[in-house]
Amino acid sequence: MKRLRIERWSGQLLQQQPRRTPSRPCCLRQKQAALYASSTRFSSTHAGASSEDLIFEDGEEFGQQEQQTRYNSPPLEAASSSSKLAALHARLGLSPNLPLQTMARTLVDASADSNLDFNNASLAQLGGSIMSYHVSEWLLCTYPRLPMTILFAAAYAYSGPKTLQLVGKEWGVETAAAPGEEVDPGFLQFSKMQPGQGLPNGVGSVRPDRHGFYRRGMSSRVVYDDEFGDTISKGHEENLPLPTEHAYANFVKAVVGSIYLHSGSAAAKAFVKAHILSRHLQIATLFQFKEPVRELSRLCAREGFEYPVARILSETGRASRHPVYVVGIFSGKDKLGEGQGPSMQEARTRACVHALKAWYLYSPGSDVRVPSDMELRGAREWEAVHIDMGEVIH
Amino acid sequence: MLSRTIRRSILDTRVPTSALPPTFLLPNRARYFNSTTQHVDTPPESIYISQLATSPPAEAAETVTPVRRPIRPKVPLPPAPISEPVALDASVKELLPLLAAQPSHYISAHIHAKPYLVTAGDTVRLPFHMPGVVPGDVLRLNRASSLGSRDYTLKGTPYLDERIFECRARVMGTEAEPMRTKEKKKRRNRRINTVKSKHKFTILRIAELKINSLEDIEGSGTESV
Amino acid sequence: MVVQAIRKATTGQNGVGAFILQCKRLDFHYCDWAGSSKGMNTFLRNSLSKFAAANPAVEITVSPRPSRHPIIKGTYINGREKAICVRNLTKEQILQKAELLRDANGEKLKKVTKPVKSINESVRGVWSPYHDGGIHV
Repeated sequence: MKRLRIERWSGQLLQQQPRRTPSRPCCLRQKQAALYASSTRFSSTHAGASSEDLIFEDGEEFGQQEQQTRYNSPPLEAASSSSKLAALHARLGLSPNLPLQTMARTLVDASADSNLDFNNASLAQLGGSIMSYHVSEWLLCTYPRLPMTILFAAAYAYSGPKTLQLVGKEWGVETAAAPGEEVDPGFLQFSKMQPGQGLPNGVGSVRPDRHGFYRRGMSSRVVYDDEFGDTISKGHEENLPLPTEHAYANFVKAVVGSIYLHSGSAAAKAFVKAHILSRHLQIATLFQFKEPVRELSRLCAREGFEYPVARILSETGRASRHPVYVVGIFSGKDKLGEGQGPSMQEARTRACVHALKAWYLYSPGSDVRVPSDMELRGAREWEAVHIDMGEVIH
Repeated sequence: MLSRTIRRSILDTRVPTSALPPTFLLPNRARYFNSTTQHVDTPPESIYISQLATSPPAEAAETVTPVRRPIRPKVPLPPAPISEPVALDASVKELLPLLAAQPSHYISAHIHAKPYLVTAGDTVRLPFHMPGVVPGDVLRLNRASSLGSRDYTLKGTPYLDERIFECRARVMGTEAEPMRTKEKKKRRNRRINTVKSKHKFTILRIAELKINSLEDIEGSGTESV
Repeated sequence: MVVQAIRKATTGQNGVGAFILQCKRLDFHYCDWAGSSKGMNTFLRNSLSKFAAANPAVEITVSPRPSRHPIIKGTYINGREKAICVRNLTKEQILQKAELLRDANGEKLKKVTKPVKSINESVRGVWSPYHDGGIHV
């Protein structure tokens, strides 16, 4: 729902950060060394290289430093010898282009290792954007008439932290008891919250209208808030312990980001499609109407249909303890929906809900083309997708 | 009102198959080392998600599609491919796009002459242990007696033409039941014979159910002639 | 606000998009001395490397378990474990047991009477007595 500039982001990610700890080999560095040789100072620190090839900025020996410094995440060499990590890589069917070292990095959360060269924060940022892009373009093209609230909720259902935690667990990833250098790199490492500790609530928000007297309307959420319509908190401490579901979500996003970096955008899209969009959700269960009868009449007025009229289709046991009425909503001669209930009002309300859901859940088919299909070579010319006026406002 | 808009919109949105073959067509390496010597063919070069993007789509699809092969003489051979063009009835031609346009579909697919009424995403426990498959394999179910949606059903006589639909099932693994014991006792005899049985069953998941468009069906018919 | 939304999470359908093998880890335990581990030791020496190469998605660990019978223990994504004692079995039989653990999904064995399980809505809808004329008494 927001414009993304992924190509620019990945460029920023690939560039070198100012180093905090010297002489620690980093996994993404080895490929980018050639690309950014002119702009970087420490391009000679290859991950796969032996210790003789390393050049130390202070001229110190690697061994001397190693004894003093304890890193917060497993060293790079551990990745190639971890059977857990290799099994996870194979289980996800990832390409051999994606090295195990990067895979190990996706498992280190920012709360475990605050060094940006060694945690998954940047990969998660990139992967989260790619994922939410593919989810939202698929939702928008498949269900062009969804109201904004439902669109936010559907995006949350597909790529929200709760779902991503489920995804991560279904991949068979376990969490380490505590992060550290000695941990097997196949475990998800983050600093866990203690029992009884309150959830970290973000300090303030990045919205310019923080004051209470502003209404947080739906259209302002599109502009200011994140892809689920939640406010983005302003001050976020990276090192604080975080809930498990956020750690899993960061990991899953980081995997998508690393696939994008190592195998390209088509592979990242195929991965999101296979692991995120293939999951099961009945979007019809996300709706909650307040005044469906009124909303349906407004809809008919807007679309130029005849005024909707409720008519009893059949009934049974009117004088009994449990009557059932079946009511249809008609606009002229077209039946928009029907519902049944123990009273005529209830049946009419259900019929209206049915008609509204049928309107909002219009879909041109689940395999409709999405904008990113145009990135393929030899793609057919783009035909504009159905764009709706939007939800009914009354 | 709604049904009309849907119908109208359908007739022009025939979405082509995407250039990438679906990921579930990727080969599984596990089949090349099994206790029973089943698949002796050399593995096709392993295809990964990323390489799929670069390889030409038609070629990649060809290498992976033979999902089910004759394995042992015990296993029945797949039926010979149909060579004559599809003779679709006029009413089928008219109604098949409408059937395909409806949101969800079911198929009653036949496996070893037993029908299973399934939708996409369902789990099927076969009443037997399928030989020569490993978890992750994809089978294409090409026998079906009916195919339908909410308002339309296409019935076969007795089976549908296999070019009308594409139904793929993923082998999820093997399960068993708790062991059954049966006591066998003859009259006027103290001896009790206890018979134990524990069978294995293959679990399938319907990964894809797609109804081909009329152009695809007729195009494939003329090609094979 | 007109329509309000209920937040939910999607449910996974393994095998529909991507396929994740449910067996996460296989532990092979053996004893150097005992005779019941003879087949297991042969298996570990000869076949295990091929088995591991054919199943890269399974993490394989080998560890001694002195003066005990050899076992294979499978750990599954749903958190359950299955252990099989392979005492006095030959290496081919042990391979079959390992494949059994690999193909299992980790659930407790249940008697299933209906072949098809579905979480989708009924495609053709549920029969209603109030439609199509109904029953005239």
